[in-house]
Amino acid sequence: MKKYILVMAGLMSITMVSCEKFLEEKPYDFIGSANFYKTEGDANAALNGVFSSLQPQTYFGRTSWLVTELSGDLMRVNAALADRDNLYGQTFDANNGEIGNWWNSSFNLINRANDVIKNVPNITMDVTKRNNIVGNARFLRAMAYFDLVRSFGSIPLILNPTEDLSNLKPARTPIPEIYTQIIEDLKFAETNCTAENLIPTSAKGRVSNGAASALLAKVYLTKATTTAKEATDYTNSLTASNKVINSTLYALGSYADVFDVTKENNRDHIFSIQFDLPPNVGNIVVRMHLPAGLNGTGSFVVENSFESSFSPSDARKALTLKKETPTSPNAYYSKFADPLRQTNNARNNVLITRYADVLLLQSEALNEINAADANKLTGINAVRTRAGLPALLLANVLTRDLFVDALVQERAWEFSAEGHRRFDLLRLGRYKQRQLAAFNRTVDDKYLLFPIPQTEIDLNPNLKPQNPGF
Amino acid sequence: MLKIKLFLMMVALLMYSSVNAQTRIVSGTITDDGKSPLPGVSVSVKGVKSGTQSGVDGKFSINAPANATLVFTYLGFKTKEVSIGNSTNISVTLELSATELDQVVVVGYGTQKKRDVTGAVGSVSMKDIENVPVTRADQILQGRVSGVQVTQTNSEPGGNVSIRIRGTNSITSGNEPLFVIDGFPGAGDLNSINPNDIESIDVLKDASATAIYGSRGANGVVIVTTKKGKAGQSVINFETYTGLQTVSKTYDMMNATEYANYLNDVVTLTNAETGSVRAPAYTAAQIAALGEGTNWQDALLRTAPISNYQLSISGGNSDTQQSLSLNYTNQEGVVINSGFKRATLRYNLDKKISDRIKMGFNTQISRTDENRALVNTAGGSAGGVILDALRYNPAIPVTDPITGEYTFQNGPVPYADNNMGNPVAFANKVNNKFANLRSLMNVFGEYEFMKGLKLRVNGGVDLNYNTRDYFLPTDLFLANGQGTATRTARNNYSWINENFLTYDKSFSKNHVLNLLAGLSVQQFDNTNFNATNTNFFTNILGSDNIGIGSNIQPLSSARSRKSLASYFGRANYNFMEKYLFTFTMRADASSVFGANNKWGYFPSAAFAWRMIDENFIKDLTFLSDLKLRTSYGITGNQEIDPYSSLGRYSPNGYTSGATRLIGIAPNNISNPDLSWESTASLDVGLDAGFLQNRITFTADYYQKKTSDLLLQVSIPRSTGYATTLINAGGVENKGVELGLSTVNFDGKNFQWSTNANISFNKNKVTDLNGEYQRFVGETSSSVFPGANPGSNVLRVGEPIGSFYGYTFLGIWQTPAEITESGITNIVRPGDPRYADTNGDKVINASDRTIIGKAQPDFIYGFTNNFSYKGFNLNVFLQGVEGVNVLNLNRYEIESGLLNTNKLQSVVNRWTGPGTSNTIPKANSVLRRSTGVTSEVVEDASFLRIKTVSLSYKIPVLKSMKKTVKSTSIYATAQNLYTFTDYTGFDPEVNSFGASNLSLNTDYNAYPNVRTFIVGLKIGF
Repeated sequence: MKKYILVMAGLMSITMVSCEKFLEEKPYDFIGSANFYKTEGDANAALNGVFSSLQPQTYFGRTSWLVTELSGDLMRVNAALADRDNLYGQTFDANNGEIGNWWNSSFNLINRANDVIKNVPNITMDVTKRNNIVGNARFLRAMAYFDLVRSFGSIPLILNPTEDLSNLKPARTPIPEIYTQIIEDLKFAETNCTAENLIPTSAKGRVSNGAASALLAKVYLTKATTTAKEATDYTNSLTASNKVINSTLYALGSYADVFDVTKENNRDHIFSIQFDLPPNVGNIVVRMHLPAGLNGTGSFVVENSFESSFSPSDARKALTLKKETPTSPNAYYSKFADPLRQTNNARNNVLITRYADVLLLQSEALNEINAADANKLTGINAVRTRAGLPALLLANVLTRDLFVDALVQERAWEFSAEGHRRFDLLRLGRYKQRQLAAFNRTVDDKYLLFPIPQTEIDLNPNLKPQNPGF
Repeated sequence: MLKIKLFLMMVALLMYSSVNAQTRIVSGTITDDGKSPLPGVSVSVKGVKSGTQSGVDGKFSINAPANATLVFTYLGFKTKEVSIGNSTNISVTLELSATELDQVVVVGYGTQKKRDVTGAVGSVSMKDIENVPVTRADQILQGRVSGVQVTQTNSEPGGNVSIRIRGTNSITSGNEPLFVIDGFPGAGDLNSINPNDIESIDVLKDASATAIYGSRGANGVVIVTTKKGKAGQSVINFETYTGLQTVSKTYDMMNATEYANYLNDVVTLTNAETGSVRAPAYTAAQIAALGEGTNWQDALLRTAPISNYQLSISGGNSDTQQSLSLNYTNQEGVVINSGFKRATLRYNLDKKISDRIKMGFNTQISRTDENRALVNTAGGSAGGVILDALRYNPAIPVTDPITGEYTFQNGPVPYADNNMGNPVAFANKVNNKFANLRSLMNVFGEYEFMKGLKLRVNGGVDLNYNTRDYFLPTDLFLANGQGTATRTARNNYSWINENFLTYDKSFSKNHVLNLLAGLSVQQFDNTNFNATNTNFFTNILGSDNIGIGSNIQPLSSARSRKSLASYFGRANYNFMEKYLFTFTMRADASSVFGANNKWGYFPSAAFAWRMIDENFIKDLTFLSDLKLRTSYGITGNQEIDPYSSLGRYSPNGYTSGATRLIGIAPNNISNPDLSWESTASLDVGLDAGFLQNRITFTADYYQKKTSDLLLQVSIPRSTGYATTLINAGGVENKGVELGLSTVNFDGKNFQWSTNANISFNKNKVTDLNGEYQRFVGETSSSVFPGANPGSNVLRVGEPIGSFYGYTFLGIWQTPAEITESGITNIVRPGDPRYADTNGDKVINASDRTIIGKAQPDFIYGFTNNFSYKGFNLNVFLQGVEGVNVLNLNRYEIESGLLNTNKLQSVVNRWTGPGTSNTIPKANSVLRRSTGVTSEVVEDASFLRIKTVSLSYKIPVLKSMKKTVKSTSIYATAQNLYTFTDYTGFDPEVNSFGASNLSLNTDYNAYPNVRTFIVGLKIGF
């Protein structure tokens, strides 16, 4: 009997030794954190991973233009859905799903960007290429933080990827620190990202140094309206927009070409999020705007007051909106179209910033620096001329406020449904005024910020207190 | 050394046979009470180990010394000892064992007599389900074992079944029990086992029984034992049945005229409300010509045949027993072009090589072929034949009356949803074939070192090869003129090696000990490959030559491995035959856990008291059995995907123009501490028998506390992740199970017996890692575009599967009513009214409450068996009580979508104050835009007449007795009738499969069937 027990014990101890190895997990079909970030190929793949976080419907595929346009004055909800109705009706609360998506997707991008920013510098590879990759990631991180700070005010500034279960509940960072980081990131991108004309066709969609300058121009203008404002903001903005304009890499083509899916990434475009037909990720925006009768979902229509604001000579009107039938109660946005659309999937890129935006930002900065400066008309009049509108005369927009009104008007005609409206109105200080004018609605101050999503504040009490009023 | 051993063995054998030389042959016949011969009865001489078995005719012969005592043992009968004196020919009648106590129960790594079992074990033997056409082994369990809830979540032939033993333990990890087939744990899918090969199924429920399976025991263990050959004359059995299946219930939809009027009503109302001037969908003249139109359900559904053929040959002698069986099943589906076929071959061998060495071999190879209808999908552009048949315009014919070709697309635009193709064409033309080739093999060898001490070595492999062939021809609407072909192949392979020692020793009558100690290693390797191509110029080749499409889609492949290593032990101690103790322990390691926590330890202890054997009870003559059992132990759950504890990067591509850019992004936070889910269970049970066990009663109370759940916990999204997998949280299940068997009448010609069981389980989430609640549960993006509202709440203190949403209060009747309510939402008379539960005058997400539950109050089964002479009638009822189903179909076919066909009841919709308080006006979309609402969370309690089976044993003609041993015929009706208030096809449904958190949700599900079969059994 003893013998058998000894044999058994022997067997057991043999298996014990080999067990350790037997139980170790070896990844076969995925890349584990231990074997990544070794080569230039890894760095590029990781950067693509950051870009891919821009495409979901819960981010720039849909949510971004819902939160910015529905709470503006140009787009109306057609098919009732609570989250959208509440954004449109200025009754949103901390449970709004689209506001939640906006928060979640932004931080998803930030975590991926942080992973690249932390790990890529340790890869042995060509330094210029490496800095370009890090610059791309820093631009995207800055863009996400810029959206967050404009939407929610003070938010946690997280600059490292989440790699373990410690420190999952950060507190809010003061707004000035967030702007400092955004500007630092964009300046790094401005210095290290490739010029637009040097980005190969196969990599179109990557961040150029011009994109960094363009975003910087807007960041300074926005910062000037916050507690982070500094006297130099307007001149800094002007410097940034001038960099784009003086590079001569960008130009105004025809307005129709801006939205032509066969002419994407042209000289009008500074930075766009790329979409294409399956198996790539397609853009649902076309389908959502089209009426049901045209095989769309008819989710949104054009606000009638906006439709009637167009001057008859404005070429943009016909390129922006259409009526399904002459008797349809509202027009729909027709500016995004794709003849090859497959149901939900269209090729249309989402335009983050384009040349006309920079021209108008230049005008905006000049107006703030010195409203009497006739140069402030250069940008806006270039945009108007392309649209077939007469140039503005200084005499008619001599004061700062009159010119701001002109910018509010011009930006509506130029950028409707492109995901700028809420932020334009907030930056230009016309949010409540436009709500009153368009809907005869007095909006409470609390709606100038979105509430922190309730699920987030429940999981992270360090974010308390909630934004005022929610 | 070995040679000497062999020599000694030979000598021993010679000596043994020389002893035998002094004996003589005793022969005879063994019959049961009804004088039917009993084959396979073990016959031995008392005090001598070897013996023989009776043949098919009940005859036996054995060498026995004079005045010996013969011992006759047979499962289910009382063991009988007969002193033979000088006679050489005797007739023996065996009595059915009045007690089932000598019945053998299969437990982990061995068997036990039922009287010695300390744990909660439920058993079904094939005898209980004779004449019931089961195409899947797990259906055998439904309603027959207390504490086991079997839900057919998909009624399609070959469709999924979910099994819950004593409730739901886990939120994220698996909840299905561990399957052990002929001692091979983790051999998984019962779909490939031929139910006709099953001898018995034993269900281990409490920790005393399951802890021997440690980390895989928490959800219970189902042990399947297949039929083995028996010593004696060879037996050939042939059985066949054939029958028809019909849809048990369909939806009553509008006809063409009613639907046209509905569409026009939508236009009229919308025009009035928005000021638009859209023309009606149909003119009065067109409507007058429409009539009934097409009943799309009738066009899609059919009466479908089912048939089964089984041939088995078994037999052997005292050293070698074997059985071979062949089976073929063909079950067509009630949805056209769907169906399931299975062919299996099984061979089992048991061989005694020497007095000390035994070996055995069990093998099965099976092939299943299915063509699955596209169900449980979103319909429309996602495809989905059932839902589309419900929603399709009945004014459109199935085939064009002139060309005879299938009509193409729904219409008319823009009134009806034209993003939907002809569902009948789809069902008929689309190939969605699943084939499975599976082989299960295990072999064991057993060596007896000395009396009572045995070593057993088991080895097994499970080879499982699955393919899917999908082809969408170019001429269907969904194909966009392109056509799609997909081929998927999965290759799963696992092997196991288990070695264990058992030691049985009686020290005296008062001390009996059984010991078990062993170790086990098992490994699972899975690979798969998937390819899709589109844009085919021809449909002739289907998916058989996928290369001829011109638009190759991204390929994918995957590979994973999971390894398990374990040590286990068990001690049974029987003191004075009255006090029974069981201790078990298993140490388990799994590769899927974090580097710091691979090993887990699972102990259990149990005590049973055979009170019936106490003197103070013996006098209570009405009692024939009384046993009290109690057990406590810890079991585990490790059902998570491999590599879950590691930090992983996953593919996330981007695009530049049409160029795909391969991207990689961090997927999760690593957790090197990840470990087992553990369930602490307490069981107290009582087994009682009355009146010589004509009445037997079993009751169990249990309490299971699962902690350290493998839980995806929500973390702040600022981390970049929504959730991370940690060990946290808790779930509790408490319940009572009652089982009762009675022999109500036991006459010479007429017998009536009853079996009933009922199980109550209360499930509750006790901890969510500090979270109070979370919204879970899938719905469908086509019902709720945009954000998924979640159909359930997971809330501390409430059960898993709590439906969460808005409470329906009726229909807004008048503008005054709306004004009076003060609700600020935009609603109109005719819209559904939902409760403003927080009184803030806005109906929004904050007004949601728990509006139903997916886990029942109780489940029950009730079987009555009547026999009269050769006739036998078996009636089996099964039910579920206190449960809800979320009927998502009603958003599309009742109220919510304006462009799809509607239920006939919508004819009586709200058309003005007082006209309806249940069905909104034609153009109301408020139900759908609100979210999950209480009027579609339906009472889904049901009582089903599951099986009624009548069989008749045909007396075999004298002239044929030489060849034919027995013949019987039977007729069976299955799912004969279901008593329920549920309005969908069937209350037993889940379109989201065996998902833990999307329970009881009906969306585009396959309809259940009523089956009538006739069968024939012949034994040769």
